[in-house]
Amino acid sequence: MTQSLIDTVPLRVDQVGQRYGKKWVLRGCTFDLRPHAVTALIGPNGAGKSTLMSAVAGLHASTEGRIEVQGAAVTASPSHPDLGYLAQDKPLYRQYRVRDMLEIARHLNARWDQAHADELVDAAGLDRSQRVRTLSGGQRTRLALALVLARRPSVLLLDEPLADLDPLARLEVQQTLMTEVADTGMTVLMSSHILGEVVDLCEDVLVMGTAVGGGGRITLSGAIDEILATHRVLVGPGTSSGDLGFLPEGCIVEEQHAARQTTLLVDRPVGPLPEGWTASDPSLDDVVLAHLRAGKAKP
Amino acid sequence: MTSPTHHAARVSPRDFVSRPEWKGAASHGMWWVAWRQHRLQIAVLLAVMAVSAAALIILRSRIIAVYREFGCARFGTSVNGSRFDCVDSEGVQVWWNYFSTWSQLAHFAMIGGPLVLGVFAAAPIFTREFSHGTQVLALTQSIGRIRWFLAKITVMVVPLVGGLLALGFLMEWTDRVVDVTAYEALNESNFFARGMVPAATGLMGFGFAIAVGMYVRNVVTTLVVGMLASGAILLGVAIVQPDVLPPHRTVTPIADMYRPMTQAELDAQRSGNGESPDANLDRDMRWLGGGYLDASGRKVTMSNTQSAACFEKADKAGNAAAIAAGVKPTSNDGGTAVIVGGSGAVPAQSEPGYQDSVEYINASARAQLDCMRGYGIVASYTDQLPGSKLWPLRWAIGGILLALAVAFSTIGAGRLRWAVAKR
Repeated sequence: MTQSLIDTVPLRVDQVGQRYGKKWVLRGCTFDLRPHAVTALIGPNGAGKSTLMSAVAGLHASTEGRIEVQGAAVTASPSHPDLGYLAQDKPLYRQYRVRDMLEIARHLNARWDQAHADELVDAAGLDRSQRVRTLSGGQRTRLALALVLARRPSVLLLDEPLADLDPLARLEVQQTLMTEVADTGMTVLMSSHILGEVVDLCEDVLVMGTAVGGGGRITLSGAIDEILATHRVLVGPGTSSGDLGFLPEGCIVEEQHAARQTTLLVDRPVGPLPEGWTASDPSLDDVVLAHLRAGKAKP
Repeated sequence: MTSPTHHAARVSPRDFVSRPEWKGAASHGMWWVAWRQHRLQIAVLLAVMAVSAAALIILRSRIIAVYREFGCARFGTSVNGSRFDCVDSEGVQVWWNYFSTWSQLAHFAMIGGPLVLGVFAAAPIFTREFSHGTQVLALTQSIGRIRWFLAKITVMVVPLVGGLLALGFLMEWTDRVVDVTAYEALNESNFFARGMVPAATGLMGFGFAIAVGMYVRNVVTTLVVGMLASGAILLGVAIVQPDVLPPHRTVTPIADMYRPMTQAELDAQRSGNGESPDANLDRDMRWLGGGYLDASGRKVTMSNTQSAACFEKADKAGNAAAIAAGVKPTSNDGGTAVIVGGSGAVPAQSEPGYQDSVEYINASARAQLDCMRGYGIVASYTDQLPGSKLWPLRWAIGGILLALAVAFSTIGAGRLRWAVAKR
């Protein structure tokens, strides 16, 4: 790999919007992926995660904005050669056998690591003579993942890869993914509407909100460690918004008022707290949910 | 929640540039994939066409066998313009009664069958992908959507067109042994069943079903809509078929049709001039229409009442002239003869009567001429497509059907962009 490729942003999404008819399902989506990082794309149903991923995969051209993979603009079909995409419903030709699927995928790809495909299929314990329609959900996911990984992508898009899997299958898929990431250093973007499903695998997080006029705005982004380090939960006596002058302007992500207690989530460290106020570390769930509720865009 | 800091340290980024051993087969692989996906359908398609071909060959051999049974040895030869030597035999009638149903069925199948096969071949190609979402798998590999589209339709179109071409010319070959249907090659029932026209029909149905499939994305609906709508399109093409090429118009001045003739000319006509009426018969000719023209070449419509009035005047004038000349009347008298004269005369009847006398013919011709001129008529015309136009018309209709197939497929390809992304 050349130095320029190492330094290139693996995936850049710049003001991307997608409109179907008159309806915008995605608008103003902007972010860069950090090289070699595993990033969780979190958002509620309808936020536009799958739309964004299919646009990045080249299944359709976005209505506006620009998408770059390894510095090259993404065009609709064929997929960028360095990109691997596992769609949400893991599409496979159900009438074929496992070995047929491997052969079909080999014939559809210019770059194909047959040995790696075999290794992944063997590790999944898949019988090559078995028809795809007879495989369990976990087996189908592992076969689909093998087909994607045998392309040897440097950027991997996984659209809700763990959805509908039982705990054991989920663990096996997670292990496969982590091994692959550790071995290759590929950059991964993994979407889910359930934070807990993917957070253990990820270093960075992108939170996608559902704003008026279309989803897709990134309301929170960054390394999970940094996000947790900067956010604070403040608890103090019951008060009104007007009595919070001791806080820097614009730092409140969410505030909840009860009769005797006020709970705030702030997105940056604050100075000495007035008497009666305490600060604590939030969980990532707290932060993500607060940002989703607030729908507050961060610079 | 676990912080990601526990993750294993990343290894150095690997060489993302493809290694030699990571070689896929995408350069030619889409053809293999398309064949692998549709080979069963192609096999069924070819089997249906092979059975149809066998049926035509058997039909032809049975026709010949029965024909020979009645002593008609020659086929496809010409006897005074007739292609067969047993046209009027009793055996032929028996034979025809037996085979006409099969022959008509074969023609019907060769007109509708290609459309059905075309729609059948096209309907599942993309609709099955869309209904299972597998287009997402195919189009997120190294294959572009246009290459995917073209490869998938090509593997179906090649056997479809090849098979239908073979069947179309097999139908023509079979028809050559059947006197009743061998000619009139330009009539719809023959034209659309023979030669390369069935292949063009199949392509039109194929292209239409491709476009429909992109919109409805359901195999059964595509089959039903495709067959009904492309059938209606084919009917429309059949309706305009006679008007696609300019007709050959024959104009005859009515003065020539009704010119006076001498007794010698009449006698020569009665003897038939030694020429068979079949000698120059254009059996493939299609008659399109006829009528009268005025001096400026415009069509003149003559009602049945007007025609009958002219006929009555001519008949009266002819009878009067014949009586005046002392012609002995016969049982033919009564005004049923066709009023003709000059070069348009028909062979003489067995017994001369008023109508067959030169006095009658000339007098009635003059009266007929005067009557028609009273309506402004100066000439008659006939429009027809001669048999020599068979191949030009085949290319023209084939071209129209092919253009429709390309147009429909292009609509389908245009829709592909939307259909791939839409879930």
